[in-house]
Amino acid sequence: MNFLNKIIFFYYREYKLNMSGIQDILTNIIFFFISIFIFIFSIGPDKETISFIGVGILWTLLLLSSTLSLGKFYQDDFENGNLLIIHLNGFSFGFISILKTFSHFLFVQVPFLLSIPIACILLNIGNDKLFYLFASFSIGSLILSCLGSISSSMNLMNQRNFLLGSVVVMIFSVPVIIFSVGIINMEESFNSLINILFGILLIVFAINPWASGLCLKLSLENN
Amino acid sequence: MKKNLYDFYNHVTYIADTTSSLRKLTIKDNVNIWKKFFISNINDAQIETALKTLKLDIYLNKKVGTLSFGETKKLEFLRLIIENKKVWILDEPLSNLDEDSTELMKQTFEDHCSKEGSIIFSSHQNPGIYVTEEINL
Repeated sequence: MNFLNKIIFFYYREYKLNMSGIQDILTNIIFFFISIFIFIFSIGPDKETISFIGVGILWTLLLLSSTLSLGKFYQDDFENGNLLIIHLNGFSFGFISILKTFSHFLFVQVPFLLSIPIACILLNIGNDKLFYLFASFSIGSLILSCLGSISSSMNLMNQRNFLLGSVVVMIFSVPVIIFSVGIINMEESFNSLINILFGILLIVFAINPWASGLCLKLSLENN
Repeated sequence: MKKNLYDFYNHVTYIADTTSSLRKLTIKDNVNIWKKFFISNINDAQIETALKTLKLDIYLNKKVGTLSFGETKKLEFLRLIIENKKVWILDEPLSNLDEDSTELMKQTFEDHCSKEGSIIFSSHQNPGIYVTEEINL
């Protein structure tokens, strides 16, 4: 029971932290929408073209926007010593990475998920595709959070070039983009593609605690 | 110890040269988070007394980022009190503190040791309290 309470109050802590820095989340959302406007202006007023490539644009921008927040995934807690304090409170490094991944999903990815309907109106994506977009993004964003956790824990000791973390996420997110966009454009094979996407989620979700936990441990030992 | 690592961790806490309190939040928020997250058995009245003793009660609604270094250091000690663990590991516990606060900290150390607690600390200055073992480097 105590352990469950600790988990609940870990998320209470994360909630308080994210609410105190809500401007960061809003900046991400604003970046996302401004990028959509830039795409629309650069493509021109042709509705057909925008609608045809809309889903691709949406996924690319979702990926770029979610990598913007990766810098703060573990960095703040690592620098002020809270990672070690959380660990001393009974959480293994692997478990901390799982909790942090869900926290990233809740406080960074869910706002994007909620803003998808507005983005669909802007990009002239039909209502019929909205369900597929939601389904693919719910799974895809959790995959991106897991990849983000691995890459940002790898980059904790890297003080110079943080973009490297975003590059790692982008390379490994190629299959996610392929299958997510595939789901929306090939509705008849929805079941098989969503299963593949779910499979990718299970793989990265299994790797995440091992890889991130080890990277966190190494970073703290060498700090 | 490796077998019962988390059992061991249940009795250990530390203060490093960084401040672990969340700078964007107020002292009140930090205290609330610590109290709940560490499942502390220290009650509200005891925390209030500790806040008053450390002279932090007047800054309760102030963000930690706006406090001076000495005040954040005292806030770190409040975390140790809330965590209520037996072994404290401290790095330079008396640096950046004024005379009154230093005296207060020494008193806190002695109180902790009198309650079967242990403190392992490194310091450049002589803390002026009874130590069981001293290693000079």
